Amino acid sequence: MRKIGRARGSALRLQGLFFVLILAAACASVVWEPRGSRRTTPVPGATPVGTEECRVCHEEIAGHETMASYHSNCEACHGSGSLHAESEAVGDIRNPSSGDCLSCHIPGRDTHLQWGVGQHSQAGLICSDCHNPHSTQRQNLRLSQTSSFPDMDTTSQLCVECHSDVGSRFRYPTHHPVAEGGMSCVSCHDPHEDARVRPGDQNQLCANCHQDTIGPWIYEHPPATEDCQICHDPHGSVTNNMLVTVQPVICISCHSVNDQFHQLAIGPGILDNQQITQDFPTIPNQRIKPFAAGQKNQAGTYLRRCTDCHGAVHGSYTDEHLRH
Amino acid sequence: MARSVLAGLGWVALLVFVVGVAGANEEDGHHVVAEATLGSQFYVIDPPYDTSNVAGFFEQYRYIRDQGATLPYFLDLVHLNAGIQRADQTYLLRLERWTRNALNSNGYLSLDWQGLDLDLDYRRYRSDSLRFFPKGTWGGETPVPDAYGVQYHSDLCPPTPTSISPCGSSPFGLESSDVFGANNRIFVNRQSVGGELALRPEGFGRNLPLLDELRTYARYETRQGYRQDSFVLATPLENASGNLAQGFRGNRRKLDQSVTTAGATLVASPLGLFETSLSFDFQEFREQAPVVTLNTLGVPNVSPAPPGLERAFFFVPDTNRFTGTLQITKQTEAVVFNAGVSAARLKQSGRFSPLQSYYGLCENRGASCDNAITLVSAHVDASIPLPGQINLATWLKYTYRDSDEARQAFLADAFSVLGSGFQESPYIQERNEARGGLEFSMRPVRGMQFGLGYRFDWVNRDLLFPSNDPLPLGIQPSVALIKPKSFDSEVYFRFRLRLLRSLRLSGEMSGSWASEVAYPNDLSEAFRMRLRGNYSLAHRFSWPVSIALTGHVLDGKNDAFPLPKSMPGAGRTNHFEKTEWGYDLTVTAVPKEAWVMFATFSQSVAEQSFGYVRTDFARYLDGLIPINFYIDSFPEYKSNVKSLTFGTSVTAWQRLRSDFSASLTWVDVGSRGAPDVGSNVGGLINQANRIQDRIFTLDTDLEYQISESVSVGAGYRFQQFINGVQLDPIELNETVHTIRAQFSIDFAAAYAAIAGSN
Repeated sequence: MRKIGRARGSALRLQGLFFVLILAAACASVVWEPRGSRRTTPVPGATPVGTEECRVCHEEIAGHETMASYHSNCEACHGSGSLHAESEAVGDIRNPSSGDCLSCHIPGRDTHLQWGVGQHSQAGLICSDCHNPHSTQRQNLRLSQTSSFPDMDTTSQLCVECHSDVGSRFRYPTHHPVAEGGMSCVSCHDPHEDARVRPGDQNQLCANCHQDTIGPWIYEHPPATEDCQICHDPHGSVTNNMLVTVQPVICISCHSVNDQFHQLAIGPGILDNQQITQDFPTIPNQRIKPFAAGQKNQAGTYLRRCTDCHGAVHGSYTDEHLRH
Repeated sequence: MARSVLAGLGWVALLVFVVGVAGANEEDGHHVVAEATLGSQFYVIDPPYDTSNVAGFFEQYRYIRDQGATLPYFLDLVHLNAGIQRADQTYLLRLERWTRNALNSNGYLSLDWQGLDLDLDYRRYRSDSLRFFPKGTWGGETPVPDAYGVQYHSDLCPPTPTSISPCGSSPFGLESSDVFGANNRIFVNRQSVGGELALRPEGFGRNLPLLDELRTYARYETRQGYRQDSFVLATPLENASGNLAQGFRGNRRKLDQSVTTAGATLVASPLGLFETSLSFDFQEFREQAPVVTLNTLGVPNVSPAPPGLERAFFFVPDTNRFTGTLQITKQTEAVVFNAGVSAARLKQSGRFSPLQSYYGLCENRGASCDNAITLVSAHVDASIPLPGQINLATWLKYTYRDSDEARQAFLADAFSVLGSGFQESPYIQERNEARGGLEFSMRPVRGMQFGLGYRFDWVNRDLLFPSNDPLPLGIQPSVALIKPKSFDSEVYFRFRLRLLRSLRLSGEMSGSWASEVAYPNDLSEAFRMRLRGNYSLAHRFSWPVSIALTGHVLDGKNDAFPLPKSMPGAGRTNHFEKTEWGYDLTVTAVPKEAWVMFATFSQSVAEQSFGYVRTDFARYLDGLIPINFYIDSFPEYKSNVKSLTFGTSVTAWQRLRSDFSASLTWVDVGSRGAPDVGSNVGGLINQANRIQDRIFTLDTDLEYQISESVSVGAGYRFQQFINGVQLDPIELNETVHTIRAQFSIDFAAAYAAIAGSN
């Protein structure tokens, strides 16, 4: 019964969301202007002169660098050029903004729909910071001149020019193979979208490649269910499996460890029979539990990886203790 | 498959060239482009285990040299670019292939004809596991397991003791021959073929009100290789002999996975009123490798599990995922509004685990095995100009995740049949999350922007705790280390300045606080700062020089996670502290138009300290036995990574181009116990997990243009990995020298030269 009730609740949620969206779209249609209004605004008083006239002076753009087919008409983006051709003044020609690009490129990808509200856009970047509309490189991308990652794809080389802290992480002992060219920054990040509102939850992106860690599991590990980045740093880490800290630190910063199963009752342990009874000198009312006579320190727990025994940290179909 | 696809791409390239030469319409300005670079790479590897077949830091090079390359290891098509260009030098048809080495390559084929775009690609990448061997113990102490040694622990004394730990003196003794004597590589070969077909009516001169673009895509990926598994066998189910010392096991599990994805996206601007996209996506994941059980492992000295009671080790469910997304955007000169909704369902499909199939639990007994996750999200996002050069940006996203309750029915049924397999820890049965933010920004003058904002993250988890029926076992709320609610708020200030034409500064500072946290290592209070500055000295020197400096700081703590059931008379929390800071400085100089020099130094430090908590008994026994929590000590952890990179690129005499770059990375990771506080857990962690790595890379290339159509090149790469914390007697230090030679030819230029001379 509860399941039916929850399913009905989910359906109502969905219906509600669609209703809100349709309402928002209807409001938007009434209030705002149609799409065509965002075409490049003309230069007042200027008349078209044609691309050939532009090439008289701008030979390096029209000749040395090449132009994509939709970019071959200079005045389509820069506006009519008669005044500029006559005066050669910078003020008599316009340089396109991101809005001009999007007047054609919104259909280019669905994530372009978020450019205007995306983090790159809000940070003040414009299309030409990454794209050279006069180039025939893939996606008209600019090329980095200072990359020290020879195997990295050209897109990622451009990304790490600004995101240098991320670039540094690709030199860490373990990292996703971006520096090696096995994947690209855009394999995970779309620079045009607003990552804060990406569809799905935090793990859905990781699940596109790591399906074998995502379940659904019979026995689950809640942090793995919520967000892979609680334990992993996808850009790079000092330890294996891109863990944010080494084991067992990463585990015992959350988990308590019981004396019952983790004190190495069989065989010798380090600090055998060590008695620890002192109070914490600097923290009032904090007192550790002394080891009983014959009890051993939990050294075995510290001296190996937790995952040596609890190997199924992402989830399991078999074992409630996530051991396999 | 790789061999056939590569061969296929090669034939397509040849076909493009031949057809292009024969059929290119010179009058239309179409012409053929075909450039190829044939390269050879010689690997000289200097590792101590060169003959051992063991995966090391530079495993892939050794493997290429020894075996596994598609072409002979010394020869490869480093780059291929062929196609038909239009008069404006855009491509009508293009084939391109890059190869970094014989195992890793990308190939693309694209067709751009009017409103039709076809992109096909083939990718191949092999990842090899880096096996860390942290030092397990130190001299004079009782041998304890090496972290990786557990994987190959066999509990058997070899005839000739070669073990790193003396055989028999430790239940975790490691036999080095088990590790190094066989070909125990851990790797994954990923190969994928996919493509996208996009149709844009506008490109055919038609403007359709309900269709701007229709995109369909499909991809097939395979992953084959081996994965490390490590586990402990508990009595009595998996380890019938009951010898705990023989319970620690490892396995090299075979992977044979495939992922098939197909989908379509429709982009439209209905009546020109707004933009919208609608996507549907299907993904099928399958694992074809056989299920591993104790009996199939054949572990020596451990009795096989009784029939029907054996468990599957690391069973990976086959899944199907369906995703649908709808998004709309309305944009005017200044106002942007975006909203969307998405729904996905991930469902177990295909084979069942042995436990699910035992006695036909899932097939015949009526227990539902409809194991699935439903995910729904919706968002609104807007940027709205207000009077007075002020802009309002706001966003809100709601996410709902639901785990089907079928699992509960299955567990109850399984327990009644098997007498085991109860739920131990809480499930997140439902998860509701709302994230959002609001920012006011203003640009008082050109080149200056300030923003003040607020963002929040609210999560409500419907935690399903184990039932105490039929046995009072399972973690209950009173001893759980996860809380159902968390709410985090953050206020931030950001700025972007352009000063004196050559100086740019940007940054963000924020303070966050959480009234409720979910985990002990969440942050209840934090301060964050991120700064970036660019200074150009172009007008002061004859050489344009620019300096970029970035830095970041995080300082946070958690005092909001009370320890359950702590010692009587003292209410306490598990105090957690986290500090991270780092910077990188980059200097770039351009002495001449064709000469670029750069250097970067970066440092990143991460520190943590937290209460290490012990309990008398396992928390899932709460109810049977009183559980008490104790803070044992306060371990401290620190990692410090420094990296220096420099390089130059020069084109001299228009024919000779040279590139040089080098990088050195120092990694230092360690732990310690707070002095005189509790047991020295931090010190013990340090013994087993200290990391001191040095990674050096040097790369140099020379390319000489002999003629319009022919160039030659040579290169050398030096790579070295030094592990400062060695596992005696094993050394993991490894050096790879790669010597490259390459020959490039532009077929079209050569053809033109030959035709001209005739």
